Amino acid sequence: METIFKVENLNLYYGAKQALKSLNLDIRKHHVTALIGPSGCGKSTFLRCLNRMNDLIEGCRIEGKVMMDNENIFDRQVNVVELRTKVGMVFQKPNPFPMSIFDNIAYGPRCQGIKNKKLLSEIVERSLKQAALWDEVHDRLHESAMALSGGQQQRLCIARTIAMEPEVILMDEPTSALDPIATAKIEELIEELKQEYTIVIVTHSMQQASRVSDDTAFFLLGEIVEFNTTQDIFQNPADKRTEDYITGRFG
Amino acid sequence: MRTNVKSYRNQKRNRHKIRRDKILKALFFTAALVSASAIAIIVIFITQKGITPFLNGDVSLVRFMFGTQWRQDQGVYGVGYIVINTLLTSFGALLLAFPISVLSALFIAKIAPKPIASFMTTIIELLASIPSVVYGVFAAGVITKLVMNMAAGLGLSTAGGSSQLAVILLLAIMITPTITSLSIAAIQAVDRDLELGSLALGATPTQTRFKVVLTSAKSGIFAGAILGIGRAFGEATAVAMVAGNKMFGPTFHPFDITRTLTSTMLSGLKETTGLDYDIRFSVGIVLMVVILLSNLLLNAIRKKIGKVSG
Amino acid sequence: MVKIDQELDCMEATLMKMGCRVIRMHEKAMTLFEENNRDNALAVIQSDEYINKLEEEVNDQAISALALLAPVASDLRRIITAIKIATELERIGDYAKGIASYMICHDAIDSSVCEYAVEMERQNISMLENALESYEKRDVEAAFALPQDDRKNKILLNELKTKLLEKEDIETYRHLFSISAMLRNIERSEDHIINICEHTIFLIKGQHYDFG
Repeated sequence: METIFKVENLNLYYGAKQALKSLNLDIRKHHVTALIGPSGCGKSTFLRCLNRMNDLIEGCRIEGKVMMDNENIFDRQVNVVELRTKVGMVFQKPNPFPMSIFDNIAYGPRCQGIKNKKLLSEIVERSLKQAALWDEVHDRLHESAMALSGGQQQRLCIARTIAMEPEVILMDEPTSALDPIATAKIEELIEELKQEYTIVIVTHSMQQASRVSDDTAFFLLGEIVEFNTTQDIFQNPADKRTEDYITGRFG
Repeated sequence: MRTNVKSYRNQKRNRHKIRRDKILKALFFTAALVSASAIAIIVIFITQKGITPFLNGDVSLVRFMFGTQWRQDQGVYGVGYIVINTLLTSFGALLLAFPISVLSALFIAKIAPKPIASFMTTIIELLASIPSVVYGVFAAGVITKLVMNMAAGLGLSTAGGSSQLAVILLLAIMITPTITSLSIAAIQAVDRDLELGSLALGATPTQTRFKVVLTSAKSGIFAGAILGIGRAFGEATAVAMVAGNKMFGPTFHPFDITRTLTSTMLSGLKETTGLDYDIRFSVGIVLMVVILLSNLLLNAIRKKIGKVSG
Repeated sequence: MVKIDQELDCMEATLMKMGCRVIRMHEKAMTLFEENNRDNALAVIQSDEYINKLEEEVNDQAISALALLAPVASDLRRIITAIKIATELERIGDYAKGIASYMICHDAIDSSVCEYAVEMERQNISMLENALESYEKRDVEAAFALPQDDRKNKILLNELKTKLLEKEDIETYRHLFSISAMLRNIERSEDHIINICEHTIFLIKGQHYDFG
């Protein structure tokens, strides 16, 4: 099994406060890795390390390495903008741009310099099809994205990310703002997407983690308490803290 | 002391409260009526005075609307060319001020570190609060000199610096704070999530600012522009000091003197009765119509822009 | 005390009730070997209906917990184990019924067989009591030790078989098949008791063990 991210002794500080403590894990290619844990335990912070979105937060200091393609993504010579084309992100609250559906998806490719209309149309169609949204919107691509429902908007955001043909898709609680049906559609999508991409998903829902992921990491107070296959974590966890959390006996 | 809320209920007092509500409602209505009446009275007075010259045949409406000369002493009143001048100067000022304002707003709202941003914001607010007459005196002293030197450099002459260009420069400076403030507000109102979304797709910060932030703030920025040009249309004191008051026109040459609707209303105010006085109200009506039409047009464009971008 | 603990404690209490009832059934069946009392035999046969009801109750409580409480890890193993042990107990109860049914159809049992049968039943009852105690107390060592114990019953059964085959009288031959069938009840009970130990180990350790 190939590893796409090799995290080595990752530490993260917000000013004086340490938010991530000595993280070590390998994220497998073409698998879904779930990050679970109570609020404020560092899972979203860790997720944001993988595409260096933490760079945008003032006072954020990182020690340690995250190796991707034999290179530490925190190295000075690494082009952050290029990293983000390889590692895409879908946010908790759907954030479509106030533009047409077409322009939303063409945004990333256009930023990379693609101008050819035919090519852009192909990219848009392919991305929407992969995101299981084509059938619903193919006849109104030039209408505003803001008119879509919450679930559709989130799938649009996924399509937008896919348009960049990344290697990894990071998802930060992608369905927490959606109703059960929209949630189910997106979970189904994740199952299909992992054939082509690697997915790392932060989720508050234990059931979602157990439904969609292959590997699960349990975060607590900035540390990874346990990292194993989802089967093992949910059937027979090694650490009592993990067991207490997933059976709801926490606190 | 009674501690349960239920026991404080009082039917008599509640009935009084309903009655009091009705009285206050009437009070609010009266206040609105007073304000509306004040506006109505002013409009009626202006309209009455303004149409008098045409009603008693002193001035022909057609020659007024489409005339290209304005000579008080000769009794020739043609406002047509003045309208064109006003449009040229105001839109010219907007053209100059708009990019500067928007880019400054972008800098202050998104790029500048906090202490610099708050310092710049204070400066903008100060600029906005300088009275027109001060601007006028400044313009009469500094801007005219600048224009004179520019013209001299190009081998052209000016009337001591008073010119179309001076008016445009002056108005541009005056409306910049307005457009900038509203643009800052519009830019700050853009959801940070949109920026993050753009950056996460591999866009550079600059691409993000232009393709996402400014386009999302389009509506608010445009509103700032509309407000700005409104101020440009209505500016009288300062403009009068550097316009030059050309008797005929319209003025298309930047170094030539000019005349705007507002400067016309101010120029040579000697008496408060008679044709000379009334005709200023006519000009005032034309000014208000121009502003109204301009606002309608710009708002229509703004709505259309808003629709496209959702 | 989380809600799921309450629900599962209730389910396990039903299970223990079932276990006690099965033990009593076998104790009564054991007395039938020495003194064949028709009333006692009928009582054992009727008990089986009650055992079946209890098994259904355990299953219902388990299904309800699965549907509503989304159990994982140890909670989930508790439920699976309870369902399985209920099944084992139901079978063990069936075997007591089998013994009683035999005793109703026959007046008495051959004295040589009787001695062995009683002893084997006694062993079974003791093993069942220990197995259920190790389950209730979550004593994994006891659960391991029980099946490793000298399989006394196997020895006794072989002895009995040899003895019976040595006998050459017609009476014994006529009853050989039915005796053999009746003894199988006792033998099978032991297998199911060992299964209970395996399930207990799965509950505590999360791993499957097969004691063959």
